[in-house]
Amino acid sequence: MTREEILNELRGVVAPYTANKEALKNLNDQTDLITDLKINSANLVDIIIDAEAKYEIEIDYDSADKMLNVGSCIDVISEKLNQKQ
Amino acid sequence: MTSAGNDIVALKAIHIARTKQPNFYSRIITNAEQELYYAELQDQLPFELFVWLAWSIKESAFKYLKRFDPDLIFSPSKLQVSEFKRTAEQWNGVVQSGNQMLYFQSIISSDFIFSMVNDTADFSETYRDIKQIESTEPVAQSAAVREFLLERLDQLFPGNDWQIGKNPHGWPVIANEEVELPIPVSFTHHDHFVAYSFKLTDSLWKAHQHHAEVL
Repeated sequence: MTREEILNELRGVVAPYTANKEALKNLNDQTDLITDLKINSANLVDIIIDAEAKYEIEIDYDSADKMLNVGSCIDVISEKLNQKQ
Repeated sequence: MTSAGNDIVALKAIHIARTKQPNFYSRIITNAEQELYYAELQDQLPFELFVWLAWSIKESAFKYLKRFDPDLIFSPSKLQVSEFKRTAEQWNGVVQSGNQMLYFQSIISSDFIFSMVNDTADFSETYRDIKQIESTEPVAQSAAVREFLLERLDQLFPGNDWQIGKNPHGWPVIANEEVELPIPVSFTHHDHFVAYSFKLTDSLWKAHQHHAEVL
């Protein structure tokens, strides 16, 4: 999967947890999950679990810790998808 | 330098079934905490509340420690809550990050779990308040918690020109007549709840008064 494809799918993964629809529409690598999308930190674990289920991957704790902006989320998902192949 | 850290979890906004899934809770509580729960706490607290209690304590500790290390990343599995003591009104105990030990004080109500941490077990100089608001919008939550704190500061010290600002790292600061005060404050919000906590020691307040007189 390309980064662009993952970004588009990630929009659907984070959508249930953000009320900031404008930032969701303009998602890019620098979009911060907490400060830009205004996602409550209590939902960060939900996003990791949802991403694991969507891509049938396992995201280890150290990788999960890095998933703070869209770019790092794409990096981690991309890396785990490559490991699966 | 001292610090502040708190966190609130609105219980209507948590997903109980998901919280009970091992792939969810194992990202929040450690094996040692799980063992502690089954050994000492399961008769006092449903498991899902224990998980979110641990979350709120760890998030509070993270906020507290981030002021000393702005690059710190929140990693709940690397923080360890090693003691939970229940009194009639609250829970107290210890949370550790590496060799750093902090003390927590938590309240569990039917609507929320609120925690705050401190570098001492004595919370008598820490002020905190929790409020339910209409909106769940982040902008409204942010405005409401600031207004709530200003009301409290006005009650405690009437006649001052208080402002709430943000430092370059993003944490809130209290200023009086545009002079930043060494009063660490922390904000939290989740769903319909907002809360603040700040530590105000006599020496901090006296230092500010002296500074104001010099100016």
